[in-house]
Amino acid sequence: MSIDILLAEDDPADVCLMREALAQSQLPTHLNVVRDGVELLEYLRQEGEHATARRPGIILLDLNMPRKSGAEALAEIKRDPALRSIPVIVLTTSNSRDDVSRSYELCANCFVTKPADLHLFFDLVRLIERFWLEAATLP
Amino acid sequence: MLEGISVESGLVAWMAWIVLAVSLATFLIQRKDFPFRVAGSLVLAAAIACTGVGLAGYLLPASLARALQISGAVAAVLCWLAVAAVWRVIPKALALPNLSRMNELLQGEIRERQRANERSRLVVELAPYPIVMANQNGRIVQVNAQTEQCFGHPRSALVGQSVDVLLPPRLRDGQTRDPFGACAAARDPGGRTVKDLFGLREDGSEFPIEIGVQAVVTDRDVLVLIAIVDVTQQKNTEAALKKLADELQRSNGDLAQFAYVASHDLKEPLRKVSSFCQLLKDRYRGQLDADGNRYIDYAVDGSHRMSALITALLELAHINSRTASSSPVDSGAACRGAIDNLSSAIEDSGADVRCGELPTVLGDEGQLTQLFQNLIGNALKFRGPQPPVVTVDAVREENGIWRFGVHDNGIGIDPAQHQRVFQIFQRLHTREKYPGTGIGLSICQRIVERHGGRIWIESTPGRGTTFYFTLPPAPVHAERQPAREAVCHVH
Repeated sequence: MSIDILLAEDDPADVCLMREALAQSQLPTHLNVVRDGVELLEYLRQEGEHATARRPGIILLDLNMPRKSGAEALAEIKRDPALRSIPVIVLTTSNSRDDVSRSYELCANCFVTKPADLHLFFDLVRLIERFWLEAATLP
Repeated sequence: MLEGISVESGLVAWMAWIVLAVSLATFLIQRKDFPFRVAGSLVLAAAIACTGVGLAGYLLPASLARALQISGAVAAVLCWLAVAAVWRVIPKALALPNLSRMNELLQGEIRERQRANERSRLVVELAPYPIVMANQNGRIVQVNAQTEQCFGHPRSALVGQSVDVLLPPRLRDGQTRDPFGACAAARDPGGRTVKDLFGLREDGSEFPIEIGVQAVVTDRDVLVLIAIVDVTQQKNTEAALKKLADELQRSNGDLAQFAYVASHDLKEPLRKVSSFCQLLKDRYRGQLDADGNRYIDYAVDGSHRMSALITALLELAHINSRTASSSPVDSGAACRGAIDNLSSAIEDSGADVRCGELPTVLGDEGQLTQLFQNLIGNALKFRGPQPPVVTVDAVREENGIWRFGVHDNGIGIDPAQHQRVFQIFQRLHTREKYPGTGIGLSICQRIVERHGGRIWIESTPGRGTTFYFTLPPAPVHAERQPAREAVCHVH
């Protein structure tokens, strides 16, 4: 049984890098991608074209997205009793103190800054997998 | 015949006495300030008495001779009293200056007063700003040359007018508002200042003024002195300063915005470049020749360096835009924090970093830690052949300011380059020899300057470098705080 990971990311290059990173792992994961905050909530609420979407094990959330930003989507998810138990990992280029504290105030489960170096990024994804998908017990 | 003459001459003398008495009485009534009034009054009384006795001698019948004798005696006593009084004032009268001398003195006094008046008039007339004298009703009594020049009205057009004529119509409301404060000032001798007024020139243009109003009370009337200061220059400067402040605030806002953009949008594409270059290299290893691999390395290195530059620039922008908190900081703790952060670099270089007794200063703890970290890190980086030895100490200068020193035994800095090293992106060595962004010392300088201090270098090339910087001391009562805290920890 593979674990569903939902990636909210508007940049196809980043999606590509994430696929590369996950491909290197031994864990059976399935990556679904939404391109902005609006689509993320549609997916989670199984609306529109996502009517048959499966509830993800974890959400990897970029902050800078069109239509509805990561922070707005995060706030909405954590307000919704049906969705708030899904762990949300904020994965972003930003390392600004404001973004970090704001994310945790909105009840992000974890805030991670994407490293500039590819190998460090791969290491980071492996670390996320090992902790969130192996060590931690998900709801 | 002789008797007839005697009676007639007696009558003439008696009439002369009457005229004398009336003249004297008139003089005494009109000249109330006559200095010898008592003596004069006695002479008058004697004259009246003698006249009366003389008249009685003619008119009274012989049967009343006794009464005549008594009145004659009274007149005699009065005459002698008058003589005594006159005798007494003679020395005083002699001491009085003679009239021509008095006249001279008076003339001199008048000339002196005229000169003083002229001086006062010239002081007002030539004062370097407009002065207007008004009466209690706010009518102009006098103006000076500057008033004419400033307002463009000739003197003749102003005198007699209301002071309102010098104000734009919207400020004229004489009785109720009295913008010049003239009427109020007439009642209040304390004087007052009115700001944010506008003057109206003859040509209709306005200019900003401030006025000082002072009541001038004389024995005849109350006048109001209005001194007018043209504050156009001052207002222009104020406006220019405000514009500058607004612009600064805007540019600070832009900078904060830039910082945000830089942290997200500028780094994002760079990360793409380096990530995919690395991916290319990993995936197509063996299919590229040595040159191909080297080119990819250059591309990755370039993007990493740019990323480091952006981070450093952000730090610098952060120091500029942030209002550093100013509270008592244990600089020793900041220094030890910096040494902790540098632990791996210290270990790698085998350095000996010693932090002496450091004082409590006024500043921002985070920025001071960064300052020590950059300076000690610098000493570790530019080390000579022997293991680096870095000592940090502080000396209190005469003016109470603390002078810190970060001493090393590194390669030193050529004196000609001492100013250059603080300039942003200035490097003295190739990146191959000493990697870095060239921004670390700019950050140090910015931090020290924002703390109101200065930073400078003393160095002997090949022997070592000392970075000196000054920081303000913490207030005396605050300096004891760390000790008190330590006691609390024991409990």
